[in-house]
Amino acid sequence: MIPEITFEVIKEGFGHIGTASNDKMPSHTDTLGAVINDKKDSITFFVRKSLAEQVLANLEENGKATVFVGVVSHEAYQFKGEFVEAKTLSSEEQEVSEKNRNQFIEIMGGMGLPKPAVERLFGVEPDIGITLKINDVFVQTPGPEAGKRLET
Amino acid sequence: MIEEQHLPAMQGMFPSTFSTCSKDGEPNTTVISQVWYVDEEHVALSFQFFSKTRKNIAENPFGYVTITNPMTMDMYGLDIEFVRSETDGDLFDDMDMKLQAIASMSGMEDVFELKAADIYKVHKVSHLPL
Repeated sequence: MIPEITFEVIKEGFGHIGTASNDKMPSHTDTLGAVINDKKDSITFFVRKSLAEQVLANLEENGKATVFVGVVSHEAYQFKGEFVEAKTLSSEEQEVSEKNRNQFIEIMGGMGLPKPAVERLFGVEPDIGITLKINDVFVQTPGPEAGKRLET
Repeated sequence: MIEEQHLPAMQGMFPSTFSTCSKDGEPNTTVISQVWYVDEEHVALSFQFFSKTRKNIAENPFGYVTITNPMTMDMYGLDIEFVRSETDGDLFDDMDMKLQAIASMSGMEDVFELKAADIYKVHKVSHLPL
């Protein structure tokens, strides 16, 4: 079970899926929102396929994944898991992503970044969902708790 | 390798993402405040507290870091390899000063501490297609 304390960060945070090839070369891609499945043991992360080609190849090859998800307050978690599937997104999932992406655009606009530039990344719909079964969750918030494993 | 067009993405205005891999093939990904330009073939990353990253790099020196131009959102992926750590000198002092400024702006003065400037060789720079 994914710890409930992480749910808000998963739903609201900026995420990055990390993977590695069989020859141990890492790669990652940014996520554009996520949903937790009903059993609370896996997460589908939304990504743009054009930016995730190496990540998808690594997942097919190695199957291991890690996802860093954090919010502006610096609260962050690392989710370790296994690749389940890559799938097209439902209209409900696209709605979740749109809400997230609009929030990202607002946050970054508030940081003084040009809106047209921010929209090049966050204004575009994701076209694929990467589902991972989560095995371990670690605190990544900077500070004394960083690296602590949460009960799953 | 590193060209003029990449430099705006290395000013620390937009966080970078850094991935490593253990000897067992387990990836790890974290966010770092800045990737520093050292020369056309090298960058420096701040070693603060990401222990899993450091452990991985000790086992497998290869990493992947993405940098973003905050004015255009152009993103670049850098395939890098750990070379050495520096704990003093001009580069270390510059990185330490900048890190303290970032920490001060984000209320993390007591948390952010530069332990070393880690120097990496850049093997490849890819422009990610937005």
